[in-house]
Amino acid sequence: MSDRVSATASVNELERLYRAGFHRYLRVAEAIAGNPESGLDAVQEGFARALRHRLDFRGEAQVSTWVWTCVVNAAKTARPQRESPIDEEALEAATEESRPSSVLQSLIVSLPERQRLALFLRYYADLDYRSIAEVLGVEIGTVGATLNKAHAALRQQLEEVPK
Amino acid sequence: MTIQDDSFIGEILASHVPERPEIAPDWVNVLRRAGVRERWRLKRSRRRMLIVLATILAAMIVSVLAVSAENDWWFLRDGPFKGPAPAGEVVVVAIGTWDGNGWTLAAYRTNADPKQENICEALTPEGSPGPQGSGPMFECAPIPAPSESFSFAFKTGPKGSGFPPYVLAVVQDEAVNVRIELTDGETIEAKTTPAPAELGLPIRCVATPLPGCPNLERIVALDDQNNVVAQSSVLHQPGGCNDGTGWKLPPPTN
Repeated sequence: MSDRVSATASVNELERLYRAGFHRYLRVAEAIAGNPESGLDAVQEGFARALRHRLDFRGEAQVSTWVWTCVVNAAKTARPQRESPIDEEALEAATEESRPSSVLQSLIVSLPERQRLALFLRYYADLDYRSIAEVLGVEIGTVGATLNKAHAALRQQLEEVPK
Repeated sequence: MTIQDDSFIGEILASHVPERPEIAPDWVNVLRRAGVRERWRLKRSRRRMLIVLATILAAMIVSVLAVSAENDWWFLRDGPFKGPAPAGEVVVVAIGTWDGNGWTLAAYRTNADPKQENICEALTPEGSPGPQGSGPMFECAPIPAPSESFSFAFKTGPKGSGFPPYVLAVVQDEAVNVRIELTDGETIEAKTTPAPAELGLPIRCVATPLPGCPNLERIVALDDQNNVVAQSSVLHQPGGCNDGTGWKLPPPTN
């Protein structure tokens, strides 16, 4: 069933989305914001914004994608401003058999923002390309290209990890 | 190391941010942040009462729908009395009866004024076809901020109709009562009605009849502890109580 609403997003509809997808919203928001506390705050604030502006929703997109946009924007606001560079020392210390999670996190954090967001929305939120495109405000073709670049960048960085 | 496929992406992301089933959703917190009351969520002990109320409400809604269908919201029709364009749906705030005369209070948000969002409300006497002299009132005002004075309107019904003079106002969400002070020292207290959740605004509305042809001095908004939330004074009240007399605060000075 389509969740496209002709006039406005209702409170009940937003609550249904919140309860059904809470842990997916939380995971994406935490990935963007950098820690569970900020992630949770971003989910709550994202839905609060959606509630406050639900009467302004005109049905140009699906309610669910519009809500994802609210949550992602809230998480971006909550995110620490400092972009972590690649942990070169950790990369050098890593081995193929056991890569410390800090190295993996550094690889992801080092990606450009759009690539990171596309990855999170694809793998954590399980959104299709069209929905990701609407959340990120890009053409649908850009999503595939962005994900390919992210994959390639991660693949290259992992291959460069010394054995 | 050479990586041939992209299956490693899922592996990396799984360890990047783990699932957190221990964190539970908290919808009430979302509603509180948004300033939306959760009025419809009653505890189980209240549900029986709700069924009774729902039956009564159903009858009222039929009446309201009849009013809205009949009027097609006169304040949105083309013409000299057309109100600003709504930014959402028009919702019925309350319906009631004064001295045997039924009425409907409706409201909507508007962004027609680029400087600020406004709330428009309209009181329509039952059977009133439109704005001309039948006791209806329409006013738009800024959404009342905490501690600031608020807008209100005064209107009389047509002479001989039995529809009383009344006051219409939008007040802060904390204001559960208003006290209307007249120049002769008399005071009239009225309960406010919370705006429906569909409006998405933390405000309350009040529509209350007044005795005779009163001269208003001040309207005070009070919280549940009877503390003053805000107040608005009448500096000049024009018009008396002629047929269909009406004014808004601040009233015209001429």
